Amino acid sequence: MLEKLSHILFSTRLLLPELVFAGVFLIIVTIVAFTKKSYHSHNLYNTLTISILITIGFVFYVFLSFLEQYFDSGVVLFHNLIYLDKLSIFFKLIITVSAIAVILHLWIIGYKVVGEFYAIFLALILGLFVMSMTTHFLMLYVALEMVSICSYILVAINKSKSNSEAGIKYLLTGATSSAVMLYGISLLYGMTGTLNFGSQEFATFLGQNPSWVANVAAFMTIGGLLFKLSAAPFHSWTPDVYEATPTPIVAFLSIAPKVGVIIVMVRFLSGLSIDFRLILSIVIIGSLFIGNLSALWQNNTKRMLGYSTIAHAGFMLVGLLALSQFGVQSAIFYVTTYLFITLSAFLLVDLLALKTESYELESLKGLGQENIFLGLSAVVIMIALVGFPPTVGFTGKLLIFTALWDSYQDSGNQLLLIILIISLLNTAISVFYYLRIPFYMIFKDPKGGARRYSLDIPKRVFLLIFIVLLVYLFIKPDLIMDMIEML
Amino acid sequence: MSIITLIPLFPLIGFLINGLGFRKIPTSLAGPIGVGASLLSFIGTVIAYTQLTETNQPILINVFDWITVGSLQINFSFQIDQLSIIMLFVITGVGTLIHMYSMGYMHDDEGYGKFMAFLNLFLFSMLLLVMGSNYIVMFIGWEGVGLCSYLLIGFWNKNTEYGNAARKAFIMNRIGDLGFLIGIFLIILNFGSVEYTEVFEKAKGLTVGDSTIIAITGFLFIGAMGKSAQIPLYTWLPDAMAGPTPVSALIHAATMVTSGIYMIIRSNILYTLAPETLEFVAWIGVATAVFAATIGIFQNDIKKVLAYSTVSQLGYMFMGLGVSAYTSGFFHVITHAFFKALLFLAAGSVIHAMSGEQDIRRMGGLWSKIKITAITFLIGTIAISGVFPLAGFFSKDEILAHVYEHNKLMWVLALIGSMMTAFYMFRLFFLTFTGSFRGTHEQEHHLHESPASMTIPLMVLAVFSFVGGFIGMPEVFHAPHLLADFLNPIYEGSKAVNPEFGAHPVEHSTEWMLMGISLGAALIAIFIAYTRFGGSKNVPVEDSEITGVQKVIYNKYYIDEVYWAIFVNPVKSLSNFFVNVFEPKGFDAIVRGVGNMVNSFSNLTRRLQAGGTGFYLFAMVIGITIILGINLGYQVLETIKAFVGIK
Repeated sequence: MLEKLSHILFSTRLLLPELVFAGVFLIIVTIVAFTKKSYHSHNLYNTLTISILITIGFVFYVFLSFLEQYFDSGVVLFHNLIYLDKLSIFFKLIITVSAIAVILHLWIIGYKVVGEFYAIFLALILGLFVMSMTTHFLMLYVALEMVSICSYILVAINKSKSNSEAGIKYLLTGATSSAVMLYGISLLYGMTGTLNFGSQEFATFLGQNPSWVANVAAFMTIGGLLFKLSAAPFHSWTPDVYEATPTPIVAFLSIAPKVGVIIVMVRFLSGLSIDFRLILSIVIIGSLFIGNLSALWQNNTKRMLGYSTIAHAGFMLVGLLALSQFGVQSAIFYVTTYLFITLSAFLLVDLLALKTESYELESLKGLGQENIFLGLSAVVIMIALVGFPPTVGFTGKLLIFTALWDSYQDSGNQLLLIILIISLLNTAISVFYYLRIPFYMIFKDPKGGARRYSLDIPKRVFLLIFIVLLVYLFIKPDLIMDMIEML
Repeated sequence: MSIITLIPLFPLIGFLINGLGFRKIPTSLAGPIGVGASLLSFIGTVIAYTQLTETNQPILINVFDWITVGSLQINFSFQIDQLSIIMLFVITGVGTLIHMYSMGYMHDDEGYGKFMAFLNLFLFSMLLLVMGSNYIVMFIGWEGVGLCSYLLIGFWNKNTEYGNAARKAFIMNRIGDLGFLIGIFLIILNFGSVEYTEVFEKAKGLTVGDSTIIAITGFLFIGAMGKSAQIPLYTWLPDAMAGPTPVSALIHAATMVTSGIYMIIRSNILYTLAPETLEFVAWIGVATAVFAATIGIFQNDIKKVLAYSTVSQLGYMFMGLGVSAYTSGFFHVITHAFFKALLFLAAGSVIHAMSGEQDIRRMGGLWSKIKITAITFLIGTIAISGVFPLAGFFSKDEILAHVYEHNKLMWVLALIGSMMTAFYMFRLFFLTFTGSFRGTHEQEHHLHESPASMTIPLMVLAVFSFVGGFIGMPEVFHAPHLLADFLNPIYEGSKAVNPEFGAHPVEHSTEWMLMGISLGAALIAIFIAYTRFGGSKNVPVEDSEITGVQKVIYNKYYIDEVYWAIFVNPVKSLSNFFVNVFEPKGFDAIVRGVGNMVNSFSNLTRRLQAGGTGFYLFAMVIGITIILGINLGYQVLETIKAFVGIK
């Protein structure tokens, strides 16, 4: 008993950052509950949230280099519920960075949100933290639901009709995916007798089942994850939710949960002792084609980005399909850089909407002529989304495709070659819709003649940081790659 | 960070400030920023020089690891040795003077800030070119200077002709760059590295006349031909005079066009291993030197004359390299940088005084009107003509002496070229500054000496044109050849592969004789020029009245027209064919077909996404079912296969 207690105390100590986080969540809830509802206090909330995030991020960064000194690979906490290793700390770091960027985005563009937003936002991040450090289905499910429920609320927080509609759609599809996932988990538990998918016995027992039966269970289990990743066939909520929700929230939802999902996928797939490639390939093909082909017709930039994330979910899974260490590393690299690309894309869309007050493509006509900096930024960001040099988007895609090619060479599995070809084809398709944004901005003439449109300094600097990052990481990918290789 | 890293960084910062802040930074600030950046680089160079002389070992600085592909490691790194430090002095020193001059010359131009930014960008690229410790960094600089040259030639791009001149320079250079690039690839292929130190170390193990080395050096030389305007890739340089005069002085006389020579001297061990290539280089040099000089005789545009003289002088430098006299070629690079920059800047001052007029038929009698310009121009003219004791005499004489040793016919041709140089330069001088004024009344009224910011660089360069030759005294003077002694370490490789390298067997009597002959030839040429053009007696006739051989030469032997007929027109008609026939009937149809197919598919997927939640869930479940179905179907297929016995 005493031993258990000391294990719990030991575990608690290692999770101190998360506990502090929970504390801040409570503080914000208290403030919100006992003060007048005011839209003027967002400066206070912004400052508070950003400072806690920066602190936590710094702690993680330091922790990343310290962990190795105390524990060889990872450490099991709370009796298998939590598994903390460098990978999870790295992902928590990424999540923190994206959260900081999102709050800055919110602040700089001047969104005024209610105090509850911050509390829920923090709770969501806490859920993601937990998600990135578990190999246990129970904990995974709890974390996933925490993230999901917070996301539903964030989507509906503006209380307008379209928000509520999007929230309901999100909730219904999400709940269904959750149900599918739970069903899958129960099947897996039945097959293996354990909920810890990182353990050796899970792999052993699962391998004793016919692979097609195990595949059914495994596919259903990752259903909930694919939903968060907005991969086919769990993608249908994406465009509607993206269109209706405030941009910074969409930006966050399109990156942070995916980061969390990717690490779970990495862990789940590496522990899977069956050939899961067929199903994964179908998911990839579906995501790529549905995302890219639908995006071609969109005239609303946010909807278009929604479809684009579906396609990108496919690309992220491509790295995992390679099932090699290099493949996993390149998938992690892809996710990390995709974070910057997506955040900058949404920032750009928002900056444009500040002028046009609309997310329609038509309204962008000639904006690049009115503000050259915005025009050039649009070119860089969209090129990064396509994956052309000289942006980091190219590096990410190159790594993923190289990993897949290597894997094909090693195994001779035709399926991998097919996926590679389809991925390349889809990259080509995506050129058409991504470049429409800069095309409209630069080559079409503005409707009522060009008027100069200038941004204030913080907006310009914020966007410039992203642009520089996108190009700089292309020149020096080692900056991130070294970190990933260390994990 | 080492001070050496800062040398190219200053102009880059200057470029960023002036470039990004163009139209926002007041003109009174843009100039000092540009000049300041250049001057700081110069100071950095001085400090680097002191560091270098402390040890006399090359200083290698790795700025960052750049590309690692397999075993090939390409670093972004700098190498400061005797060769690059001299180039640095020339680039930053002459560069600073020309930046200063531009403050006066370009001050009223509306693109003043942009001009300063481009000049700084050029300086940055040029510094990369000479400071890089491997061929890749050199190539970045090489392309960078090409870009800047394009931007600056077409600086007044509202004039289509100027824009075309810029494009011509750019395209001609691309041809050369392709050669250079192939050369680099061959180096990577054969040596597995691009670092000078490693490549040259490995090259020591090769024998003279190795065929791969001949290929490498040949391709590298094609690069040099393009950049340093040698036959057949020289026609862009005279056209490049469309750019503002400081650009002509800095880029198209003093620095960029000499980068081909720098590159060859840098790779001297490779060239020493390939005597066949060297012979080729020498003959190209001779041909260019003489050919360009003949054209120079009949030109009537003050800048065109200088341009052809530049091409011709570059020919002399290659001639020097071709006969293994690397130091002499480099010596001429240095002195030429002084007197040709001086001549161009003085010509700019003349044009400035003449309110933009460049035709020497409209000038004359300017001596008393713009005295400083006239005197400095005269010093430059004497220097380039090779009259003792000015800078040009020493460097040109040294080249001629080596050529004489190598091949007597080549020497005769070179001597004739040198006489022509003296002749057309003095023709230019006499027509411009002596006699009576032939321009319009209005121009005469406006004649004035340029501001101090323009005349001071002229005076400084005049001093250097006068004394610059003393760093390389001929042996018979019993004075040390400072340059040769200083440069000695960079030829270690060449000496290692060819023991005869650097031997200097010319007898003293021969050397005296050669000096006498070339001095005499120059003086005779000057005298002929004086009798014909002194006091502007014979003003050249108007374009329409030129006839006979003179007309052919005046029109540059119609080389441009020939190139146009051989290369441009066929390509044009081919591309017309593709545009009018192949493209619409062939590719377009295929592309449209594919596009239509994708479009109709995507229309379908879009329609599915109509917004009904019930349908979404239905689609999701259908999707899951399909995937599970495929999974099952695959399993059934496998079972059947196993049952039938197909593996």
